[in-house]
Amino acid sequence: MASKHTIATRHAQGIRARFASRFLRSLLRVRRSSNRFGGSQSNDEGIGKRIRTDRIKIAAYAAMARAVGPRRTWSRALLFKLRNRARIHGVSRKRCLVSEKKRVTRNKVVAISREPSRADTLRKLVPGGDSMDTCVLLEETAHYIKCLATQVTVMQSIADRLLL
Amino acid sequence: MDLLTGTVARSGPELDETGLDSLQFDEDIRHLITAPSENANSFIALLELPANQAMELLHSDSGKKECPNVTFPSNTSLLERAARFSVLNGGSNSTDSSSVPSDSSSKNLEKAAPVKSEPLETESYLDSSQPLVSDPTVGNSAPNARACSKRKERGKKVKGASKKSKNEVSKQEEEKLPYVHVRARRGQATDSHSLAERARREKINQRMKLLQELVPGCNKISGTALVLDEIINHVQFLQRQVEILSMKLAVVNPGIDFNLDSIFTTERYFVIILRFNSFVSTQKLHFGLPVVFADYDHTDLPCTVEISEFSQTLAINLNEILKLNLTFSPDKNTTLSGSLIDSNFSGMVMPLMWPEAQVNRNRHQFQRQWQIDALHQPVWGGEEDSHNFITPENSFLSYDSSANSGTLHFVFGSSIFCNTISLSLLVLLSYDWKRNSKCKMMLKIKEHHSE
Repeated sequence: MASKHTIATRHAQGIRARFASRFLRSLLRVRRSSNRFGGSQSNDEGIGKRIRTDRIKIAAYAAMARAVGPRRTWSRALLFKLRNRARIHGVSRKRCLVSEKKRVTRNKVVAISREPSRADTLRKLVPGGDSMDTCVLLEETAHYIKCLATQVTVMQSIADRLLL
Repeated sequence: MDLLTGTVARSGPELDETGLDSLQFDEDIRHLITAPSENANSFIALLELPANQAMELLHSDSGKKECPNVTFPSNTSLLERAARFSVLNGGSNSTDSSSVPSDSSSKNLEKAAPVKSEPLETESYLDSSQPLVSDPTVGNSAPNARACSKRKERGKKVKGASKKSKNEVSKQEEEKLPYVHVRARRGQATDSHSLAERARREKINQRMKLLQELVPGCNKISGTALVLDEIINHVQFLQRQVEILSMKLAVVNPGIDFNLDSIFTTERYFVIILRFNSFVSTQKLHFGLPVVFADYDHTDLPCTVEISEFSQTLAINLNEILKLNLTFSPDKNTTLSGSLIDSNFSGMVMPLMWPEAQVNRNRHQFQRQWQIDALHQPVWGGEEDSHNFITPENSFLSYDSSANSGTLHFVFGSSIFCNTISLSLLVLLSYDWKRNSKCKMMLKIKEHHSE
């Protein structure tokens, strides 16, 4: 089903429609899962607003990354990160939290302190930006900005449509 | 293109041994330009600003950046020639002639166009002596054919060596090739380090220009650092927007179940007013929507209103009729719509579906009934022929769709029309938002006697 969908919409309508279809599907999935928790109640109880927000946000980024495909470095990095997060999320949370804390303190001690230049902040913002040199980073940033803008417009139109 | 011919013209009188070569170079250029586009693409790509290239890369959604492998042999030979040219020109331009051998190691081509890897350079260096000798012997009788054959010869030689480079280029994008070729401008340092740095700087500057166009408000800012700040702010702003919107979407009442198709489509609303007896309603409240008038003078009823639509590019999804509002104004003085909630008619049964809050319910209603007939119409092109029947209370609707036109049949029972003067149909049509071109709607009113 998923493969058929991708084949059907590969180059069909451009990135906006591809993202919209994927995002809507994942939105439905989030809704259904939250409905399962809370039954017919509103979303204040049950699964909690924050978790739903995060899930929707992750769904949006995942949908965008999949719509772009593995052509771009940032989309590949984003998909990789999401896949890892899904895996870790499923296995165990406590262990990973503890190990992350330890890792963080160690890094702080060892790292050379220097003022983060603008390129570094950009690297942090763009997914997968660490392993790119400046020239490629700028190109990826441009594509990333374009995709983010379409993402925002689509989400805005959906929100307007639903809330009306 | 102009620069190259300029250099050709300049070098013509200066260097004798390259005179004939320049002729052939011209021929080659012309040959390439008239050649099929695939050939020209990769050559002209060298000549164009790489900014355009990067623009294409950025703005093309499909990653179809393939270098056709077939044309490579011819291009390599041309590149060699260009390289040789610029080598010799570099010798004339730069102050010391000793820089020529150093230049040959980094081939000078037109602007920052990444081209070839080492095997090509060595090949062209070896070949540089050869054509110089053989060129004077080439008569002007058939320069083209000779050039072609030479190209093929050289192509064969280069083929083995450049296969690796071919594969490299065909796999990677052009910017990721190991060697970057820059032309040394007049009066600038020509050692390889500064050349490389200059190439890198130029690439970065081009990309910065692209980014400046993307980010709103960056055109006026001068200076790389501030522009970068602006870009960073923009990315952060967009990410924050995504977060806010996801919060907004999370808050929306999850009880609403929406149909994917209906979300895809934007809705376009028409008010279709059927006027009986040519009555023009005095006060029109059309909610700011475009109005289509249709006059119907026959009082023989029931009638069939057929709304058919054709447009070449659109596939209007007549499936999604969200609201059907029939209002009847029984006497001439009452306005057409007024307030739709309170009824203007005198005791007639009438389906009233106006209030917005009921939209979802109606949507459900319609959808359920659509689904009975299992009409699955993808938004981007409808091809099925199927008949659907929807029966909201008193009127009978049937829907029949085929490729690019759909017809809606409204059949009204005769009892409704005994007192009506005018009738308005508010038909909401939704269509594929991707193809937002104009749509044409044709309204036909036929009499339908066989009821």
